[in-house]
Amino acid sequence: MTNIIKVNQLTKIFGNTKALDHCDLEVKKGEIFGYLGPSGAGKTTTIKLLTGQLHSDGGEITVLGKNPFSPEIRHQIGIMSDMSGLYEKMTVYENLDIFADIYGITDKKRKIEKALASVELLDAGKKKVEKLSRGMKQRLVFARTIIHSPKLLFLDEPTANLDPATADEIRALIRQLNDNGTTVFLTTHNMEEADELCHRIALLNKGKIVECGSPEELKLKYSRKKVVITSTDGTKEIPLDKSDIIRELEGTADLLMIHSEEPSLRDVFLTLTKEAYAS
Amino acid sequence: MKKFCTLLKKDLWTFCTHKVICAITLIPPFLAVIFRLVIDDPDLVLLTCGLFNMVLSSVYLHPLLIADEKARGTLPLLFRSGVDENLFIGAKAAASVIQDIITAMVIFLISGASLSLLPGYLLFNLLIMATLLPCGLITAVFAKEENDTHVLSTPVMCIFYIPPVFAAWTSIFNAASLFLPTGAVGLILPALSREYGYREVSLMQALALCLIWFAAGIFVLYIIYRKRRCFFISSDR
Repeated sequence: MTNIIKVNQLTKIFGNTKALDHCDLEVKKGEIFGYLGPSGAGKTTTIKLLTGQLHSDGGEITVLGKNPFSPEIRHQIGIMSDMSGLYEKMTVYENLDIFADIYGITDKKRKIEKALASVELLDAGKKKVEKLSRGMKQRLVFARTIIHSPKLLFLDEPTANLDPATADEIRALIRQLNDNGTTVFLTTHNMEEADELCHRIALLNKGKIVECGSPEELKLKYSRKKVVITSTDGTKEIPLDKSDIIRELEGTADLLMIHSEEPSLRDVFLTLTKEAYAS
Repeated sequence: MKKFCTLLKKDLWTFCTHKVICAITLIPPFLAVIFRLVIDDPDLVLLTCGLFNMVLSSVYLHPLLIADEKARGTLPLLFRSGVDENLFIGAKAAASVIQDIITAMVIFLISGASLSLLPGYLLFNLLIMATLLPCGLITAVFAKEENDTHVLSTPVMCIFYIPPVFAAWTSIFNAASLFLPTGAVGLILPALSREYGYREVSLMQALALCLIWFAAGIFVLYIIYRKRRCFFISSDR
């Protein structure tokens, strides 16, 4: 799979603070890549660097094979961030109409209606944005982000501050877009969301990437490698070893439950950040 | 061209729908009605309200339009969508000029001035707008949101407006207006010179003064651009 984003030794300094410290990452075409970290870790800074909103202080970035400042890629990427403003006095349709014109979209009416239908806002097309609920506004922002059918989406905490139902809807939309071939670069500090959505993730802490891989790989890597066997005799924890497990099961009277103990992504992250802090 | 028209249409719509901007736009015509009732001198009404409109449009409303985009978060969004900074600035300037001309004509009609003054008055509007738009843009660069614009633009507005209006009454303002592009308002209102003692100005003097201020504004903008590498994408801090 080709790399749609390639970052090499990326560094960004604000005053005396190193927001990003020699970060390397690659995002493959067609995947949902999660970029996780606590607030202030450097996630939004990374997105700004990748989308040509900031200049880096070191390292190289290529997005879709080009420099992020290249005007050629502007129409191939979609960006949804916390500053995704809407024209409140305009209607839902008019907000999308403006950006359809800016992107030079042909067959504008059909594409706007398609984008609105995908976020279930087709019936709200004539409503003024100021009258929409928070969840509806977020869906409208999402529609605006995808209206020009971008190859690559940058989503900066797309479900932050949303109710669970709306957050689920947004996640379903992200999955649907990815199924249709869009690559997604997603930042979040919601580990469960990343676990659910992402093919691969990078964990960022204090400007450094501390780990990278698929959620399953990371959970296995940081697993305590223990199996918990619960029987009528009680609960036992044994090493994750086939012969040990078989021996234990043979000696067990009535087996009630058996499961391995993989950490959640949250556990992995807390482990890694504590290690980074300690070192 | 299509992008420019889209942005221009959006900005003109903002003049009608944004409560604060709409209210400020209506102040000069409102004052013109009041002054017309009180003063009954068309030239003085044009001097006070017409000049007020020119200065307001260029150094107050123009940066306010830009600050509004910053405050609502749509400015970075437009740039990320491929809108060029020059196109953005051009559309805002064009919207401000159109608003200024429309309001200027309303004020002219309210003032009851002689129609023979209209072409010169409108041309003077355009000249002042062109001269002062760079000043407005400088304010817009530094204003993070609308309140900053109110704070930064008000003194600038006073500098360009007050001396020319009161030039006939105090020697200090008379001297100051010699150096201001708006001080050339006597060019279009010769009756003011005869009746109220405003200084007479030649066309060449007026044009030279406007050119100097315009060049100064462009020079400051050039310095800002060289330092920041852009005007508005200001996250690089």
